[in-house]
Amino acid sequence: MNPSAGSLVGDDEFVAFVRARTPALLRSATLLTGDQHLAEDLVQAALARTHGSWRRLHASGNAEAYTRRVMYNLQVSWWRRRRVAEVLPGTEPRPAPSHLRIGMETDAIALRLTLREALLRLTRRQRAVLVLRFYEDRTEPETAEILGVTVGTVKSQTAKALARLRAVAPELAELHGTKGVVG
Amino acid sequence: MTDRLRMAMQDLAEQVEIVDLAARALRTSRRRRMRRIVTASAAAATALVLISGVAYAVGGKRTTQPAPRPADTASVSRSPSAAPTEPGPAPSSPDTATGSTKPGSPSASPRGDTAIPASAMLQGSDIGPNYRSRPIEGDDHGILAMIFSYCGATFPQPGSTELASRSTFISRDAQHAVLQRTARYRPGEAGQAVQHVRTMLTGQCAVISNGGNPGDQSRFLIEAVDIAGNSALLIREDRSNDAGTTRSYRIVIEQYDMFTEIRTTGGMEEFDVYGMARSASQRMCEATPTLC
Repeated sequence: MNPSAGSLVGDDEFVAFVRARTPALLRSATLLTGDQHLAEDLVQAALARTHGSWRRLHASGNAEAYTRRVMYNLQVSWWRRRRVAEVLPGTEPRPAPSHLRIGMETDAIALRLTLREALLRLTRRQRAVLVLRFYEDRTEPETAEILGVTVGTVKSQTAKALARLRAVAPELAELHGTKGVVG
Repeated sequence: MTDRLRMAMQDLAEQVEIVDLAARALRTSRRRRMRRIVTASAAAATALVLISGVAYAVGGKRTTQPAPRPADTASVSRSPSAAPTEPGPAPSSPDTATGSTKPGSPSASPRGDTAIPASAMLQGSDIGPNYRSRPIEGDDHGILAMIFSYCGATFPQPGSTELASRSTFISRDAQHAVLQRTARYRPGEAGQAVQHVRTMLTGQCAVISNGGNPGDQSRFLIEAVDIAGNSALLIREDRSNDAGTTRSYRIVIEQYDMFTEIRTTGGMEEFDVYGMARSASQRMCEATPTLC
């Protein structure tokens, strides 16, 4: 097989991998970034890096794990670069005005908005820890490995993130009339 | 205790719109590979020059030989015919585009010339039948620098240096027109300019009052990213005033050290704008050392 033909076959496999895993990756990325376009950019960048090492990753069966790790770590570094932009006037997330919340059709919509805004008020690492622990159901050691930190850091960041959620969005505990959404 | 947080996160994540990222990922990967090759080549060339310089210096100290022979010097000198030529305006449209190079600008492109050739700009045939290059009239043309001034921002981003620029105006009739302004920047700044536009149009400049008139507002929405070049934005502008609401599109593209902004008027469809973006990036590509 000539090299170009081999490359095309590799690309076909890569494209199949991308199409199979993009939905799951995009969902996590949306929680990490709070924005559809940023989520697409993040997943795209992670997949591009995966493509660069595709032959090795495909052979070892580690492509998805690698992509996720890159995605989480890129998110941390992107946050560092974009932190100034994210606090510009008008872009800083604020809770929805109460009159809008009252007018919403369902509690689910209100919960979605409030959670999204609350997540954006966490640090990038706290957000990553919460997404890994509570959305992806990762164990503490798995979370630590993906983020390249210790289990102790995962524990402390989780506690701080939950405390921060309670502080910035106390309404999360009230939306369904009971306490304990994040408590 | 955290079950409801888990459920809420799942619910929020389900709201994402699933898109096909395969082509975008492949394009980004190839771009990264090309950048690595360019960087590695530049590093190798630098290393070679350094090694040659050191070897020459060491050799010069060890021997008492006279200066290199004329034949040696001739092999590294640049002949007049090999010197980079400064492309002028396109012969077919001598008065339809303006170009300028900032005096004393440092060289940005490896070829050594910062000027933007007319061939790097859109042509009428890139846009559609009966579109022709015409003299640029008016003042600000609604370019980003002016738009951003209405919302207390600047363009380009602070700290960047524009080395050269060229503008062109192409129209079919009084209503259907395309204005393009292309500039060359120091390495890295063209990409930062695209990011700056994105930050401003999703933040403090998402809604602006044209000319400070509250009755004439433009609302911007980024419709797509990375549609062409190294990075790009497709921007929708909905402008509302006494005459009603009109929709138009803008494109910004980064290609190596070049940044271009394209403004359309006259109800051009989004589909046509994608094609224009591809044509624009292809033309910019030919004025940079990148492969396209």
